[in-house]
Amino acid sequence: MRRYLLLCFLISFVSTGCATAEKPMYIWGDYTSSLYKLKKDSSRENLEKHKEVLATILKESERNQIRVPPGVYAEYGYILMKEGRTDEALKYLDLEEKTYPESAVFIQRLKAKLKR
Amino acid sequence: MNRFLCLALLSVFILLYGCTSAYVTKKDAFPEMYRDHPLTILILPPINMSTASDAKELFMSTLAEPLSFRGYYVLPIEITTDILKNEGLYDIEAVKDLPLQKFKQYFGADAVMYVKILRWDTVYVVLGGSIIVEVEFLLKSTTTGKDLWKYSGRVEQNTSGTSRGQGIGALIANVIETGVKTAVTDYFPAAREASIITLSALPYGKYHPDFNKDGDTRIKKDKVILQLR
Repeated sequence: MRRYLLLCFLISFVSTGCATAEKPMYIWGDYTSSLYKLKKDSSRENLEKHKEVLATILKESERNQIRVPPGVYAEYGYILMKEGRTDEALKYLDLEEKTYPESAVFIQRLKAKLKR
Repeated sequence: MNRFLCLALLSVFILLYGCTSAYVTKKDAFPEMYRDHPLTILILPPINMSTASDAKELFMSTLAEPLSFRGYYVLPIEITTDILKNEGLYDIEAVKDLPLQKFKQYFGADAVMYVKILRWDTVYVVLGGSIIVEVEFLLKSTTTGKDLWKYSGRVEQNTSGTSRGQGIGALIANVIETGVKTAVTDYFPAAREASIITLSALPYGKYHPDFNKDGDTRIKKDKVILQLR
């Protein structure tokens, strides 16, 4: 009986250990709240903050070797595009397409627009 | 005795029946979803039926994160919305008559999400107030044009004051506090929860480990309601 209890203990221990080590599906950081704030007040300051949040998502995802969430490369590239940093923007749009091949139709169309 | 037992059994049966009929499996509720298997989703600008003019933009910002966690590729809303605006398609009236295949052609979308904001307001009652956000989602296939998934969610967030005490003084303090708290409380928590709880009824997409395995999961039929404190 005692041995059985011990086994139970061990199993529960191991399984919680597994659960905590499991990686999240995506790292979104403060994305939703920072975008919401930007929609509420589209000041330059809030845009800069949101851009920083996007950069943090890219960095943290890479560090933890997790796939960057859908659309984040593209959104970051889009902000760079609006700042006139076309070459960098293209790099991020390509990364979006590479990470999510299903975005190809959309990304190609966006790039065509950008080059025009 | 026998009659009593019979009655008791009958009432239990009725109770159980009442309970189960309020729940459905995902596969029964959304069979087209398990046939179509969309991956890429385009979110259209919501139809705002509330009285708050900013609800449309604000609510849209809460969608990408929870939808991605369901296992879908969400086309970048910030960009697609700008494109739709430039094409004069920001208002749903202009979009709704477009053939769905256009969204496949232009955006590569397998499905299009129509969002309706039914409520985005604050209700005042004597001793409290609450913020209410209620939304309805409809996902349509761009291949078959069929409805794939339809679901509603409603979040009620209590914003009552917390002044404790007795007598008319405390009552007035409470009323004032409620008014102030409701005025400054923003809709973000309620809006975000509304997205999360409604989308939790969406069958998992291809990027989720449980893709195509959640057909037997039971969910509330048609609509989910959450009380936030």
